[in-house]
Amino acid sequence: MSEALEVKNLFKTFPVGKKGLFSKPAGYVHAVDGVSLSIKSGETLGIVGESGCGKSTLGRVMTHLLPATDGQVLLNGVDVTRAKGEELQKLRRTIQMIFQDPYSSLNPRHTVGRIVGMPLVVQNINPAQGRKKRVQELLELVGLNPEHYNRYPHEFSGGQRQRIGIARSLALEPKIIIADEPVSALDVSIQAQILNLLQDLQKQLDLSYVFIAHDLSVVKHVSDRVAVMYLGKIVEEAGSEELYSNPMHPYTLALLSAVPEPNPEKVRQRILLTGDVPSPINPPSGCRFRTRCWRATELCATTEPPLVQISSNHKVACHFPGPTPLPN
Amino acid sequence: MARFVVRRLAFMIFLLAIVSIATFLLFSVLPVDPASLSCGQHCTPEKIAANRIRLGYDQPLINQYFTFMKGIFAGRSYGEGAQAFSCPAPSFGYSYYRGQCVTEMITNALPATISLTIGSAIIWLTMGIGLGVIAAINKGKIQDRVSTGLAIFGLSMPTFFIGLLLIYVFIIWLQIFPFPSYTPFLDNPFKWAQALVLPWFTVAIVSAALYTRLTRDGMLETMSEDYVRLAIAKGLPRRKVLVRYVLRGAITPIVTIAGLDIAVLLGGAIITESVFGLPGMGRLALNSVTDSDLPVIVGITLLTAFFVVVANALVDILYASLDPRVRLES
Amino acid sequence: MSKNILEVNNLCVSFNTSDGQVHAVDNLSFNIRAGEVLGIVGESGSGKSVTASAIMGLLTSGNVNLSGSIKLNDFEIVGAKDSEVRKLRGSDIAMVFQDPLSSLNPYYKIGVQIGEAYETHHPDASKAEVRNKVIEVMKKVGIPEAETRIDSYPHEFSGGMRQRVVIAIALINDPKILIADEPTTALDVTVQAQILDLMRDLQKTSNTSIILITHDLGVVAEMVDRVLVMYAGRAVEVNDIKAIFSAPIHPYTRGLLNAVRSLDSAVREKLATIPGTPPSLLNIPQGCAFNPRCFYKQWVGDKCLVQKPELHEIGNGLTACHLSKTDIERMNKDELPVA
Repeated sequence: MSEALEVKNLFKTFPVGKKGLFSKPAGYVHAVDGVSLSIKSGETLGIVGESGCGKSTLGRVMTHLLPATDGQVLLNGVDVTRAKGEELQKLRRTIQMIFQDPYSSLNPRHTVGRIVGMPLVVQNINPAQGRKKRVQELLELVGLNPEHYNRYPHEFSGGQRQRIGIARSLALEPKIIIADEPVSALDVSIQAQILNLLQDLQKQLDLSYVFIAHDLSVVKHVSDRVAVMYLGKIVEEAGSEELYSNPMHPYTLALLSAVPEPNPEKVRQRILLTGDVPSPINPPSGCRFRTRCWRATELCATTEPPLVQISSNHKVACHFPGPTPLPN
Repeated sequence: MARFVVRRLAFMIFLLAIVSIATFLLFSVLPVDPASLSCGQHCTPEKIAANRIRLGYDQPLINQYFTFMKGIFAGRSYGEGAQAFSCPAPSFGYSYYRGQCVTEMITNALPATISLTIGSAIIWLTMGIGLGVIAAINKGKIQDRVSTGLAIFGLSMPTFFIGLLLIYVFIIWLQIFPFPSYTPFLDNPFKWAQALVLPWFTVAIVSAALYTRLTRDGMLETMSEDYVRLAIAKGLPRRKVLVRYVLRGAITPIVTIAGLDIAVLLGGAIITESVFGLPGMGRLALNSVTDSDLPVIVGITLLTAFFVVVANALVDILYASLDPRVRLES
Repeated sequence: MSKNILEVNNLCVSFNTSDGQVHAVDNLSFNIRAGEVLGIVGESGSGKSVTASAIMGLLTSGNVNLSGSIKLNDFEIVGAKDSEVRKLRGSDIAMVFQDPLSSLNPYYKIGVQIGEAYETHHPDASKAEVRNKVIEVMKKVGIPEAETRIDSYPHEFSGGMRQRVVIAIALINDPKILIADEPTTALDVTVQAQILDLMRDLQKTSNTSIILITHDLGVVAEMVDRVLVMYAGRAVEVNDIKAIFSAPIHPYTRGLLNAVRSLDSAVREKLATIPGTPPSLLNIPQGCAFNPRCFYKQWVGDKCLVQKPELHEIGNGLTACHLSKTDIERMNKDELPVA
């Protein structure tokens, strides 16, 4: 299996605020701060983290909705970081995105048929059976009635709208789909339907997914591998099974212990992180997590821990990785 | 906050400079030869040519601009020798038609306009916001429809019509007021008010509608906000919720628009002043256009633009002081 | 057995809209004892938030039709004068909403907003007394540097801190009941853990009753003593927390539990789903509202399509379902109706 999509040392910073009388930025938000990842064809990579960790920004840079500040994005080995014009148009046929909010990601003034068919129009693609037929095929593929071609988004429920969004993302027959929190805005029973649909489509169409979410249990259900992000960096990356049974980074441990389990019998030993997430404009020196970490020592303040491979399937960025959940 | 204020004022000065250049250029491309206006009734081509040189109209535009601008800050003198005279700073020029410094003419006209503007602003804001609040609280009910209806009714009347209507009703028919004749405030406050009551209401009736609409819409939008629900859930009395939460949320855009409206009015309410014979900026502007009195027209234009630019800056600063979220610049 | 703090009987709420009548809550009855934590679980359109608003007496606009009884310590809220209900709001019953950013007034400092809640119900308090009370409750909910942060604006706080402010406002008058409507849904999971922990501690020390409204079964499992499951405006199951998870007595609860993921389930395991979607409240199906999506109606027959089931006792809980006790046991043994 080849590397379908690879990101090498990716940086994305945003200037913020104004200093002095003229518009010199007062600081920079280091949204994505040196991230390297790879996704194989047919695989699902889950990216987990809380608000402000940079996962959504990472997704947008991968899809070229935002330009990278530094680093590389490689598609099948080819550097497409600075793709422009025609090259970018072609790129869009390979990488597509599914958005979080099914209510704001569909133009309320367009019919469903127009929404799903728009990528074909924009890219000047005329399928053999005609655009309308193709759109109806796509609607059926995601479990919607093709006769609803002429309806408007407000006539559909949240789950159905998300299916429309998925159909739209499949119109160009991409190989890689970046799904940015695709089920967070949906009811629980509908979430299950959509997740199952995504899994089915992956098998049918041989898709690779980058699944961005803050909900750890969702990510476990759909991912082969999971990367945990904190303040713009990847702190742990492992196979799904491995990460959930053998977490090593203190943040991962805290995250896992924080998830409320639908099981009243289970006695949870919860790690409560103190304080708030530090500002991404002025992240702590050395290891960014040290201000909330119970294992932190002086080393953590001076040296940033690199992301190292500790087993064939597992990478951690920590000076003291280990499974012990209790404070030392 | 201080940084915000300083930056805003700096930008304002920059904007004023641009406005002055634009105004100057605009008038310099008019097909009217300023020199030909300068010698009144007894003009001969030789006199015009002489005046052109004397008044500096033969100079390149840039020089004319700088002389003009210098006049604003340092006063300007005209003529030589026995016929020399000067207009003290700030000098907007000299009106040959009237034989007066423009600044003096404007200074004489301003009090009436300021009186008219401020008085009517107080009335229209009270009326407009008041009706808007009533409409919002009673949404859908008769009070809502009547309030909004009254406001729209006022808006759709031409100003001169309302003015004339009020004159007819209150002066001619009911004879409550005498024919308006403006008296400065310091001379006789009672007569001053008497002359202004009808003009105040004329301007207010027309202007209130916008504020009724803004208040009503703003309040209705704010009423559905979560923080209003929480205020009610805290047990706050209805009136407090309405004022501190709903109205407070709706008032910021109203304040900013009012600021700009008032600034524009300070440039003169031409129609109202004419109907009521008030010796204000509006009437001055109208007369100077009729008389082709260019220096006065330039002066009024510049001054009005100045009012608007300053009001704009003040309104921005006011907005920042009203809404703490706007101050979050760094 | 402590007595009932809140008794809701036959509550019906509907809204007149341009599209027709929306039946948000249909014949709802339940009780809460002092010190108890009741979870109300349901998806969008289940009527849980409308119920909370009704209890707080917030449903007063012209297009609302409300009937039934809501008694707080024997005081009847339905039909009472607003001036009477207002005395209870924020002092005897308090509420916490979902989104802490939009719940706070952006124009006033948080000290002012917290203090308001106290002043309204203690009009004779001095400024100093109010200030002390505010700082005290801020410390209680874990806001650091309370003396300085009392002068901050809401947008200067993070999401978790803002929710603590909202909780402070709710608790400053030591309410008997706290209604928390999805209090942690908008927060990150580590922050959610902190807030849930806080709520649990506060509840234990002051013995406040809590109505916790949520769609997250994980949160429910951690926090509540009893659960009320709502669907399409009706109560479909009422049971204590352990029973809900081990032996639910309504097919909807069963379906919800199956569809919920947990960290314990296997990687890439496909989820069981409830087919279809919740009904529109303008057009609730005849008979049992859940019947179009229910697997088990085959065991009952036509009754599900024509007759609305009423809440009745099965074991220790209540269910609104036509399935017999034996059929429910079959359901819980994972027996499925033959297609």
